[in-house]
Amino acid sequence: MGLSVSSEPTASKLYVKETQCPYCSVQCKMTVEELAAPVAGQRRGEYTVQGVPNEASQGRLCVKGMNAHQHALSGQRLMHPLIRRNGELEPCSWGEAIQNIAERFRQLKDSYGADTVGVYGGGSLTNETAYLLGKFARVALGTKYIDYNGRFCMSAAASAGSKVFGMDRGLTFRLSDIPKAGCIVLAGTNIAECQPTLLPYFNQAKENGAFIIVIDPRKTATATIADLHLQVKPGMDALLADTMLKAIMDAGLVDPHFIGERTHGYEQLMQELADLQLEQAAQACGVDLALIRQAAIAYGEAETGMIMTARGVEQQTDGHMAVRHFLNLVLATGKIGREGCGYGAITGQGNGQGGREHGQKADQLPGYRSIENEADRAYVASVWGVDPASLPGKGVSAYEMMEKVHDQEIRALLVMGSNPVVSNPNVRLVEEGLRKLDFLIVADMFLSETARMADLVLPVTSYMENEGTLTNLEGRVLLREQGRPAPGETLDDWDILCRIAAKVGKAAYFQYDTAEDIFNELRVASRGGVADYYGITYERLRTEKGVYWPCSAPEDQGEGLLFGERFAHPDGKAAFTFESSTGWNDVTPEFPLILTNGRVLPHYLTGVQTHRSPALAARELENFVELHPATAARHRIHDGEWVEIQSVYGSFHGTFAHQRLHSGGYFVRTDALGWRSKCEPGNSTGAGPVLPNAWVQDSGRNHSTVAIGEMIHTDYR
Amino acid sequence: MVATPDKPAPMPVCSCTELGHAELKEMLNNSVGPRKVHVDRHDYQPVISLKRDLPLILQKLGWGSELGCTVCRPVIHYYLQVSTRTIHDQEIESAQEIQVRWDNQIPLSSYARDAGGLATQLRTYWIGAVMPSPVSIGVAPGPGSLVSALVQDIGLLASPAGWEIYAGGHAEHPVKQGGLLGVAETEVQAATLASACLQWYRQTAWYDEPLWAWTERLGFMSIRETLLDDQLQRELAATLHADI
Repeated sequence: MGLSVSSEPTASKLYVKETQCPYCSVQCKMTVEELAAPVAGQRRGEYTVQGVPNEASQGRLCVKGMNAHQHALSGQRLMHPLIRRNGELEPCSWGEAIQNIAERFRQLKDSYGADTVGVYGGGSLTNETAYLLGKFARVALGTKYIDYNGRFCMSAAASAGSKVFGMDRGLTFRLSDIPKAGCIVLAGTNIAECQPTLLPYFNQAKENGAFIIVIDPRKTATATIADLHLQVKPGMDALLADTMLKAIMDAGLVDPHFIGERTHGYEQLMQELADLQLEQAAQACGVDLALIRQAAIAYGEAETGMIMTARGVEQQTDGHMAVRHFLNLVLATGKIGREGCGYGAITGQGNGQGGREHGQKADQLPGYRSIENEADRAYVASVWGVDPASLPGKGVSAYEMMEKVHDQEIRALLVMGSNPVVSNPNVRLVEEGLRKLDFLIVADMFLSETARMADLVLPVTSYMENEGTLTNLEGRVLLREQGRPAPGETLDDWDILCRIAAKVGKAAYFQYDTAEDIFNELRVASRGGVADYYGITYERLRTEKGVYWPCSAPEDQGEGLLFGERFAHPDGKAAFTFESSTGWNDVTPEFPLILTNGRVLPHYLTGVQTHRSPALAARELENFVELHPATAARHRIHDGEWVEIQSVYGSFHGTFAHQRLHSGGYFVRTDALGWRSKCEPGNSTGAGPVLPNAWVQDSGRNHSTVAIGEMIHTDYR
Repeated sequence: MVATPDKPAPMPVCSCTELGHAELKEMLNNSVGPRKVHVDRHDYQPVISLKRDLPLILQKLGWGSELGCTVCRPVIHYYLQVSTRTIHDQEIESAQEIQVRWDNQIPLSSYARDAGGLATQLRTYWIGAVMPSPVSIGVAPGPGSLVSALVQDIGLLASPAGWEIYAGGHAEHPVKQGGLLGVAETEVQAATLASACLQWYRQTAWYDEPLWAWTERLGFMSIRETLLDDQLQRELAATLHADI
């Protein structure tokens, strides 16, 4: 069996006074204490993990946070750099790794130009690393190609917020405002499983008499707390929002004063909706009109109300527009800018919010500045001490970057904090593209599916070791202190960037001793931008336990509740959306079902971390596929049977689990997308291969992770 | 061992003693020290000879008979052999073995794997392993096999994902459905997980406790958490391998 046993002496006991969960966007604080070390062949280590009260999580933890230390302490952590020699990854020194990177980058740049090197980041990186990654691409490498996995997350909501309000911050309100809302609409967001520690806010709202409406094709755990569940047909969210708005207009529940004073575009919107036939629209949505009307009246009549969306609405072909159609409801009823009101995009990744503000995006500079705006370029160049003309222009989004990789316009790629070969749409193109690369570098804690393909793998620190700030879903900046020394030869990701920068002759621009040094530069670089962090310091974060942005001065308290007086557009007004959404029209008789995917409670993203935590790996083992009972009956599929899902892009297997899902869809787990997807076609259990290359230019931001598929009944168990 | 209102006295192992299985096991461990993990099978020396030392051990435990009885002797032998690894196999009276069965019929599904090959490998790995209770292993090439993987002590079932490993099933009275322990992509991984499960059973079961009863006593989730700890899984599998 080739088995071996190591019995190394155990180090001194672990005690982390305060750290932050590495998973979702709530960023719960906690302590981790070792009670008993593992005994080889006898027992696992025992740890106590306790929530630390803070404003967002109020001391709560979910099963992911309780067990997050397990992956950080896992024996599978990468402890030294790995370099590919004769086809195999072998340990090498940091000196060799960095030297190798500098040389290969130089060779490729000499032959193909600076843009031949691409940089690919992630939404779980700290603000400091995300900021530095943007600077590293533009200043150290001089490439325009940098982007990150947030494009497959909340980007549609981010661009919708920018378009409608003039600013993108996850929540326009504070979490503590939720219990003050009279009506709450949760559209395509499964908070109970994805951000479980937020659920008590909603329960509290319910106790205060709030009416909760859940819009989701699935009967999710969140739907069970709803007063009303609209089980919409997948892809019909924008039309459902329109139908609700029309019903609100018909009932005279709009707020003419707010519309007149604070918005524009309402006249056009009314014209656009004039022809909307409610009965027809409800039928297309697959929801009873009476229920839609009930929801509309409940939201319209409530004194205060909130609408929240997540990937269910955002990650559609037309997700950006779908979000904007929901924002029409917010504006038309004047439910924003006051207590108990607002809109929220429930960000998924730990630093999904901060990660999108400081230059990881192709078109962006720190502080949500634009790389195409001369004044923004000049300002950031002055902070960095470079000539504005030396900054590259905007690159392309993460999805298009992979096309450039496939076309070999990008020949070297540095991936940091992401697993694109599993998490991206059109994984076949991604995998082919990555194989074509002359040089692939992956910085990760584990040998992820993407890292296995790399020429060079760089071991990075985990959440317990890597100090830095993260911005939670509310827009509250939190400081995660270093909890224990970096194990083995692991390095902080920002430190790796500084070392590479030094080797390529740009040391002068990357002189930092600590994460705080980087943050202090970020403060200045973001100053005066939309996402202004200038007033936030590590000291304040330690004493105040978190500060909201925008915060433009050290004495500024930061804005928890946005848009009280004015919106962030130059004219101070919000913009209604009157362009119609294209919706989802690609269903054919041959492929009649639409795939939706999502997290299960114990797992996060593609599972690189959670599948390596025994207590989490032990939960939700089955790679299940959920179907409407009628769909299952039509194909004679029974509980527990294996089914094969096919689309025009590929196929995979999963186990059928009974679920009350809208009859037009099927559901799979996001974290299982990569399961055995590398094996021969037709024998994959990850849904990755069926995800299509669907991408709508209009939104400019969003890629679909929706697939169409046909159910095929393959076995008789 | 004293009964309190919250904690009734355990059922004695036999009429020679008032000790229950847990107490007996713990006292035996204390008297000879916990076993070590063996990197290979040659690095330990049995330190106890049953013929020579058993009367003294029993005397220390306050046993009611000098050499034990037909009920408690196999129990003591088993605990000394498996949990402390301090006696010679030849002396043991308590050998309960593993039976591996398979079925190589070609199922209708397209993901058939070589059940016979895996079963033969497993037999080779496990031959002579001393178990607390007879263990039945089934290897099935797919659903619908004559070897029903879900009602074996340990069942390995070919699936599109690789091998599904079930534990805690029982095809006779009382019928029990096994639970999914994990999914292994390769035969080596499947063998390692199944070996780790057997070793964890050997280490923590009472003598004569069937595997399905053991999973119910420990809790299936607890067993899964233990066995899906990558490091511990490899250590347990290596221990079993070193023992046989």
